[in-house]
Amino acid sequence: MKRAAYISGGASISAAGIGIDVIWQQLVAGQRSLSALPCQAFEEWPWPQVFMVAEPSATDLGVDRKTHRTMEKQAALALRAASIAIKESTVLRERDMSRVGLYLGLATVEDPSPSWSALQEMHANPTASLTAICSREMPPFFGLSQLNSSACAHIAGMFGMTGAMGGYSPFADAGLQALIEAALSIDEEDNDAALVGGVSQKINPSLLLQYEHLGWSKRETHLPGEGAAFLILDVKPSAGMRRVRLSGYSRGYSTNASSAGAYERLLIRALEMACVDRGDVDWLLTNGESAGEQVALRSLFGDSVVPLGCCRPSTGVLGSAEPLFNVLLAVHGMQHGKRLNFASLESQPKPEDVPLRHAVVTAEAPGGQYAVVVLSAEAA
Amino acid sequence: MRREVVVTGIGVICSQAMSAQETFLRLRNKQSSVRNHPGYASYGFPNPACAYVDEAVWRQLRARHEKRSCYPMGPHAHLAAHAADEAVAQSDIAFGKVDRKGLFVASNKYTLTEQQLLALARHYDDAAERVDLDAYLRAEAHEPSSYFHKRQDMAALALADHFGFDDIVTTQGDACAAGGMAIGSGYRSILHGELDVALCGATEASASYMMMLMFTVLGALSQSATDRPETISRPFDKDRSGFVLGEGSAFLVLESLEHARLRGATILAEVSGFSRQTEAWKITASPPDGTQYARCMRAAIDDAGMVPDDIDHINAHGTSTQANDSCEGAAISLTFGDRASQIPVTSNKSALGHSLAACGVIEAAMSVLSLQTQTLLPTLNFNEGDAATAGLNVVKNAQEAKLDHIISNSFGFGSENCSLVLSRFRPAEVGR
Repeated sequence: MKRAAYISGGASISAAGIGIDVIWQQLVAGQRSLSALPCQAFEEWPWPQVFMVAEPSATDLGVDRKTHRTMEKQAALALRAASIAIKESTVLRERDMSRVGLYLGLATVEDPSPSWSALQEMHANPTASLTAICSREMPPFFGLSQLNSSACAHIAGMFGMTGAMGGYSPFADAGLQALIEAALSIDEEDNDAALVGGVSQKINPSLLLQYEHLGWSKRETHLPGEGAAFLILDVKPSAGMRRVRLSGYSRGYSTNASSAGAYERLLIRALEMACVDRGDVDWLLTNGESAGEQVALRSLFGDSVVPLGCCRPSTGVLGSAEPLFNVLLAVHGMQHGKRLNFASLESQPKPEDVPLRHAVVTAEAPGGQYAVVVLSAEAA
Repeated sequence: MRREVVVTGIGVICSQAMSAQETFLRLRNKQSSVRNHPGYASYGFPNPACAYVDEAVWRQLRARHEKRSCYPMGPHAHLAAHAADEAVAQSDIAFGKVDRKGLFVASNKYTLTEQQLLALARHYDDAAERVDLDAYLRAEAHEPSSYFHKRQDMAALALADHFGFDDIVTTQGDACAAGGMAIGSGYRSILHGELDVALCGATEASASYMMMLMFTVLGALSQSATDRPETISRPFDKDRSGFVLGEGSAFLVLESLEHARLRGATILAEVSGFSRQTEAWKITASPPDGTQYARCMRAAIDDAGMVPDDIDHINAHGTSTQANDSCEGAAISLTFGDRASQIPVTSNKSALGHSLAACGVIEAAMSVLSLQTQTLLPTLNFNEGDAATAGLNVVKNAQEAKLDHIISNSFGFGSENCSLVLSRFRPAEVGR
């Protein structure tokens, strides 16, 4: 890449709390901040508790109540995390906002539509006008608040951002697609900086039905979570911090989740782009979706040489946001000379003091979309 | 030296047209696809007009694509498969022989039909005061368009599986600008050397019950109920009163010029420039002075290495809402200055309705055909502009014109804008 893209800041909101350091601490302590499932479920739903996050209020967000009514929970979580990231960034404050881009990975934004109360009325009054019932139950801005793009609009509007942008959906790879596209926009001089974010799905009956369809309700590693993670990419590194840049990437698609071939090819491509030997990679962070990826990681990096990592034991499955949480964990590790060594992604990690040179973060969607980024720390 | 990106295939399906050529001819002949939907009239919508795909066509698509993919194919994927097949056939490209190929698909989420809605309501359990999800799963699990299949990536997965994509496969969710964004993302990936070929498109089954309901409640749809539904969508006209929904899909095969030449492909047009921008305004509207739309158009023209005087024609976003068309009119004036009253402007939505994510790709495909045939397409129902649009040269009838460069706009709800510059392919001029 002609222009370096440094990760100059970030913020996150998860069930663990605000900030990546609280997730790190919870992972080390083996703690989990679970709440009761907030919605009804089908009979075989396995988890009465999930990683839920309270919806930010109008006061939390610094918006009036009218604006708040046009946001659903995912847009509110995104705005809250974006606000923290921007307010804590010394670099971004100096930027001309017409050169600051916005790139989001979003799980499908939605409320049950129509509302459950509308369904109840339809059931009770089968001869009543369907359209009259639904129109009565539907908030005026429902058509817009359910659009993924509205989450972008609230952030851009609050911070006056008018740079190049993009939105990607709906699973984990989308978070890294957003990060890669943001880095490309800096490389191509469309932007000088970019706010890159990911927002999880919302825990509601629709999500639970999708879990059943995907087979995730039978996987112990797939407890649902809510959250948002944002990071700031900038041509300039942040002063006083160890410089971490996105040095390589690749993205592709695997038609066979149990075969390692496609994953290996994409991992090698990202490392080659970053000019990083696989022996120089100190940490791998993955959402561990498929057997094929696990085989590819072991084949390329060895069983015990490079530890695995993932935010998931403390956050739950976070969809599009999850790889960005993992990027923030990697950056945190690079800044503090530490990593978390997971024997497996289900186990409690062991913290290790290691000066991290390079970390690889991967993300895979259930359909086979796969993305890889390489993060490189410059010498202190 | 900058790589050149060319179009070697286009495919379209929309209301009452099963191909790009058929869509173009209908537009040229001023045939509107907007009709009163018989079902929506009976469900009590004040204005049941939309540009919908007929049930017979849905049946045909389902039958043809039933075993196409290992993924469940909902309506979005069926439309996408048809349009992508046409684009790939025209391009005569064998994706199996291409090493670096990407798939860029734009789609907003699929929403429930009225029948699916009623099916969900049937499973409401009065005693428990909740929907019986177990009963719902038992009854509906096999349906590829059931409630829990509302994934935006279903069309992308079905195409990736069918054509054997193993590089980039993305789904863009940028509302009404998403289609243009998908083309632009593919263009950029070829431009900077990540890919040689990109299949870029969008798909929307948006003439659906819930979409009709959501946009009716929002007040964005025209409420001008009439027995002449083909007259409702009237972009830039003083009597415009909102948009009508449309649905469909379109795909473009993009290639690096080098790749297209090596395999002897017929080149239809060149993608010369692209911009995508966010704007800091509202989720409902853009700055009415047109400054943000103008900034987006100028950035695309800059990206093409051109100046506004190089642009011969504008394929406008032109939704037929007061807000969009006034704003776009102002933006055209800001961008083109004195030429704003001369440069021909058209809106395909006057005949095809607004197909949300899909419109940007359908309109790009129509622009490619305009470049090839040197024909301006008409804007149906435009009689007279208002203060904001009267200065525009809105094309009323199809006409021949010298067209070298067309700008195609897509401006989305949620402050997401993009513009594409498409150019007539002239081998001697490539590499400017």
